Amino acid sequence: MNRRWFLATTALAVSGFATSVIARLGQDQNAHLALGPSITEQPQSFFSDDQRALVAQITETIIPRTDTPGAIDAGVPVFVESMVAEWLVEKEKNIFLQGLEQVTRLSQQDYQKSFTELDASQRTRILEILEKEASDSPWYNFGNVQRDFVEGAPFICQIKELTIFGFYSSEVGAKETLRHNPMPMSFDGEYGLDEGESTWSTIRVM
Amino acid sequence: MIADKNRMYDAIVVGSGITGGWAAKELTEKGLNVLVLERGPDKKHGLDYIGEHAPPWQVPFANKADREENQRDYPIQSQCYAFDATTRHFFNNDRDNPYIYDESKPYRWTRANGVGGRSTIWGRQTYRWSDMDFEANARDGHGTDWPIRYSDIKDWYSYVEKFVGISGQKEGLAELPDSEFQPPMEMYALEKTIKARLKDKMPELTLTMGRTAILTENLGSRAACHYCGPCPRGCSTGSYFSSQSSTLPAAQATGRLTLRSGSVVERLEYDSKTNRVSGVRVIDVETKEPITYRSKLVFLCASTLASTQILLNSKSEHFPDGMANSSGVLGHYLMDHIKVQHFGVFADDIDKYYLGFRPTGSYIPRFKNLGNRREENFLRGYGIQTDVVRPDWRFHFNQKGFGVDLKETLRKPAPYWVWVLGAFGENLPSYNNRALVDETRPDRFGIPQLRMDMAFGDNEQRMAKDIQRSADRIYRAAGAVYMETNANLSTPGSSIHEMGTARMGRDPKVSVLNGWNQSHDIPNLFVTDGACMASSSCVNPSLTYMALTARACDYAVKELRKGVI
Repeated sequence: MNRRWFLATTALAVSGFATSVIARLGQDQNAHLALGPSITEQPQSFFSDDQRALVAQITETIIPRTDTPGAIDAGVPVFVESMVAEWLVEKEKNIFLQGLEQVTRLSQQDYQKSFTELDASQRTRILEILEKEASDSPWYNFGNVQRDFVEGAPFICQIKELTIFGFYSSEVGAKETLRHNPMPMSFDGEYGLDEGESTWSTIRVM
Repeated sequence: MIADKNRMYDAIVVGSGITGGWAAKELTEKGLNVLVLERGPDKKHGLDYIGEHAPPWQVPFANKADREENQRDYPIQSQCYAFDATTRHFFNNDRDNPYIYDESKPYRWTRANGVGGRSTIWGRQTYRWSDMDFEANARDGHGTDWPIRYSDIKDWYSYVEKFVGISGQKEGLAELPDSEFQPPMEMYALEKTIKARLKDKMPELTLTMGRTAILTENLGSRAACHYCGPCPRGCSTGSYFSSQSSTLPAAQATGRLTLRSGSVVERLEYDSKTNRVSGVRVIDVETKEPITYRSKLVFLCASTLASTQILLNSKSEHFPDGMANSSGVLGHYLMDHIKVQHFGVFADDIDKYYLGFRPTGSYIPRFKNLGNRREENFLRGYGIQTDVVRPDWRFHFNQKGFGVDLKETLRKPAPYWVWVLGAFGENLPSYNNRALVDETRPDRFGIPQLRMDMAFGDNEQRMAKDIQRSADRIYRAAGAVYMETNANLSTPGSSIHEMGTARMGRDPKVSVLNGWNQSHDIPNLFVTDGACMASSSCVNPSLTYMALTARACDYAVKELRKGVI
């Protein structure tokens, strides 16, 4: 079977002939996900302009541009804003917003500047202060990853988790930092791994 | 074709999952006009696999669970490993489809929603039962003797396997007979390393490639696996077996299939003059209109608990405790495999990786209490499903640090492998483990809900401890540098291998079905899903359901032609 042809027809068929059944499903449940918007391309209006700029620089401090794109290149700030707006529960949102205030306060206190005006090492230092404060959070427990979210996780843990998920799930992160090979067509269990090579961007579910 | 309530169908099949699909295929191919009733909505093969091949950046919330929605609508289903934003539409909404259990005795019932049933999201592991399994009840006296042996079903295994397409490795083991195989998938370098070490240190073990209903070679119009990874999202190339990819299209091709979705079976109607099921009463999900369809044969293939729920709700003067329940055991002897999972860390072969996402693990067949040996302080046995994982950023994102170093660490595979051992253990049949209907708690259709009452017993506890001892030994022999093992029993139902409640048996006084999956009481009533099972073996049961279904269809059609039914 010609896969590319099949995918193309599938996509056409889904957009062209909504069956009565599909029409009955909730709007958010009937769209073919591969045809939907990207997680980094859904503009939000949750943050103020200042907050948006601040969040962008924090995500870039967590995952900076190197010889490969960074968080801002990948659209991570948009993803983080959508997660704060639509995914965090009320209590978590408050922790997040208070965290932004704390970053602003620390920047003024230590450097008499806003976070966005700091240089990269100063920004990192501010985040390190937050991480030191949070260091006994169960968020850092080895293997504490098979859960939805750590309830009451400190701000710095929240924004790291959202930034990392956004970045490595984004199209830019998946294709330019990780290796993207969604249709391998064969399995080789002894495939070599050279020093410094990245993981695949997609995973198995069995 | 549109279902016609004025028509006398040759057969009605309730359910379109793995057994309903087989019943539809076999009966239509033998010339019968068949009406398949499915409670869930219609789903089109391929078209409705809305999560298939969605790249990570197009899965909402980067596929982090929608906690609010899961809590509200999917508190049970969302606990299934296969449930996420890309598969949610295949699962039942728990708020709309409740069942009852006591908080102190949780029971997890994983249910599919739509044409294809759980065959769309199943784990696809396929293993034959052996005489060790069919003789187990007779040997130790737990449960009632199976009315069949391996020789009765052997050819039917072959028959369904050739159509299903199963990849696997021949091993020649009496306790785990080989299937009709397509070539097995390859092993990871680490599995080969482990296999060599086990051969040395634990020669009584076999480590074989998982036997899975996924094609490694094209079969008819179905393509060999393309190794994309997340099977439960659906497979439009039909590379894994499902009703959608395989049996329903075959039934459709005969021109004798009518499939009516959105049809919840409320009850079966009984004619005491002829001693036959005379009708199947459904409620239309959309209109709530009750409609009765009629047929000469009725096959219940609605899944273990759903089929039994229908029978328990089909009370009449003649069957005050539920249809075909003269024995009184309907609803009893519910089983599920115990599941005990462990993980071990390996520092071998870290310069090796993989290409392609192999959709199966490897398998250690049962090695305890084999043949006439009874070497342990528990009855029966367990097999171990194993899997190799090279952890990525998803497993270690919660670390300290920022910037270039963090980005570098997270982009690379972890410098170790994890080898997971997941044991499935046989669960002894017990009268006390049961499903009943609660007439004081009707669902949205007015149908009495199921009430679950199940707990594992002492034998399962002792077996779990032995599983942990074995896991410790296996990890040491295999060369793990770190391991975490345990003896914690799973929640009943959570292995999604629920079996029993309308068991087969030789004696009509203590069983519901005879050796042909036919009701002892009512000749035109067959139950061929997991409800029919008299014991649970330790291997995944779906292949056996398929073989039993094909066999029962063959028998039923012959009886019908003879005029006996």
